[in-house]
Amino acid sequence: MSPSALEFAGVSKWYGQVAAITEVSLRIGPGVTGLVGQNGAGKSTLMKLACGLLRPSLGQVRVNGGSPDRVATRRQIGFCPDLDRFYERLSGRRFVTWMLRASGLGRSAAATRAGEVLERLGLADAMDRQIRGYSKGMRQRVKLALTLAHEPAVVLLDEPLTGLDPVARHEVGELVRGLGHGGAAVLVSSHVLHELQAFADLFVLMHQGRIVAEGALAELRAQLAERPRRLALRSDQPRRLARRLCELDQVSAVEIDARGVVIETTGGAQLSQRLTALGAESGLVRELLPLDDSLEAVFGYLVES
Amino acid sequence: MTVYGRGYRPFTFEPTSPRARLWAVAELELRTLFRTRLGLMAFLICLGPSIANLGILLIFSGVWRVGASPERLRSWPRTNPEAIDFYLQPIIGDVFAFVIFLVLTSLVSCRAIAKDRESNALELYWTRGVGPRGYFFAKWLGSVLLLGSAFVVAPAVTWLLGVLMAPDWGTLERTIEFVPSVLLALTVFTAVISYLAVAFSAVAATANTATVFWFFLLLGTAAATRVLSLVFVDEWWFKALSPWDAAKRVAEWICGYVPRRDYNPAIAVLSLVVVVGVLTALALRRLRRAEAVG
Repeated sequence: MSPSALEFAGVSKWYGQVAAITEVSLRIGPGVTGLVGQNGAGKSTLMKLACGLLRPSLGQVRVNGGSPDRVATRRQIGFCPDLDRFYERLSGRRFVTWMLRASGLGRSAAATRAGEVLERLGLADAMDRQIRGYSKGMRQRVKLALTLAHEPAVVLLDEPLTGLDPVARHEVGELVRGLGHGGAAVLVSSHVLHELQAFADLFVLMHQGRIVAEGALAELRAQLAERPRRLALRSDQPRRLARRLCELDQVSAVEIDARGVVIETTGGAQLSQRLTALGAESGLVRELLPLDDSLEAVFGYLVES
Repeated sequence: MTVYGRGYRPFTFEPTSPRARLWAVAELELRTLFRTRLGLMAFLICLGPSIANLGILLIFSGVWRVGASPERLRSWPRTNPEAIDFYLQPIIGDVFAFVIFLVLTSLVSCRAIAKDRESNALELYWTRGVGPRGYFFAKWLGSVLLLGSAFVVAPAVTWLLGVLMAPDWGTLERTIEFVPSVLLALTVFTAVISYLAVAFSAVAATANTATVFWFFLLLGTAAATRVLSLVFVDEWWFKALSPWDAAKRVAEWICGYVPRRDYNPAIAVLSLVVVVGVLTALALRRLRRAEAVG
């Protein structure tokens, strides 16, 4: 097992009578882990427990073996909250400098560091302007600068893509991927599942305060082996293709749409061979696309089940 | 610097003390007022009493000749630079002083923590090696330093200028006995009032709520003591019900000033201890991590 930078051992958290997290046990090592769940699933609570903002009602949270209650442990954590929390009249540079000083950097080291990080995050021209004039994307970058400036070993990003334009989303995705490749343990929650899928290696799926599945996407899909897979077959002759597909035992349902045929199947490699042969023989199949191997589909199936 | 890409590693922190971390928070608070023109103007207005005192000193020392002689200025304690009233009353004595304190504490101290809670900025501190108690202390320290610059440093500088501008060392000889204790009294007064305001700020949900309640506390209790003065004709202990009056009585006691409406300073101390204790307990409860971010 890879070393776990962040560990939850039987963690439950109640707000009064309401259970936000129930018996969560999880180990997160270096790399990017995506945290997926609907609103109220417990994602933010999990993040806050990880960075010591909340204490578990039951169980233990460990960051590199230490309690997040300790200052020394919190220095190893970078937390990017989901809302904008700024001093609007400070410039981006001053704000990051001040927060670095509160983290334990000296005055000049903090100023230098803040400038470097903001420059890396593309705010070189705007870092000396007041934050109140920043766009949503620029604010997001300031938050990321606050999170990453001290190069924490554990990075917790709560909805880091919110409000970003497509270019900025891509850049942030690359940045997060780079952190993971560099050895940091990154836990990212996001509603933009297809983007999360692009830069996360592992996924933790939460529903109603519990972890319903964890692992790489292929592993998660494999856990749903009994569930029929949906495949789209692009064809110029969908009716003829549908007739041929109905003859196959492994195909349990066939639908015709504008661009071809969608089938549901429990067949594995054998069916793939038959479909490939079908395409080669008659030219009926131009393209084959899996429809439910995406994170969204897997999450949807797991929540349903 | 390896924010991107491989080679990612935890940053090596300098061995800074908790004091340095808290000082960063205090310094941020200290500069709050000077980030806006309105704040700067408010601060300059709050320097009004000290600037007026400086004018009197210039006349008293003969630097500024406008007709009033030093003898004439000496005839009224409030304009006599060699009397304790000259330094004490402009800061804590009259209605103008009360209004100035009310304005400055409303703009700074009683918004200090509430505005951070309002924007959920407390999360940023709690994840950065600054705990609730240290944060509260740092906010108070920043507030005291800001208020102290107007209500302690400014009178001290005024006195120093007066001494240096005087034709001889007579002013120094006649004031050195009481000025240090007056400055100590003003420091204690500023510290107590700003503490109450910051504690209010920690308890309130929003900055505006804190400001409104702070106004009600100071004005309401001051009004209540006025009403009680109609009931208790020769007794003045009830003035301790007003935190402002209680802090003022303690300050007067520290510098040995006997007010016209005198009462036992122990009652004032007791009153302040109760208010400070209750507010501190409430503030620390409200600043608990789960409470603050839940």
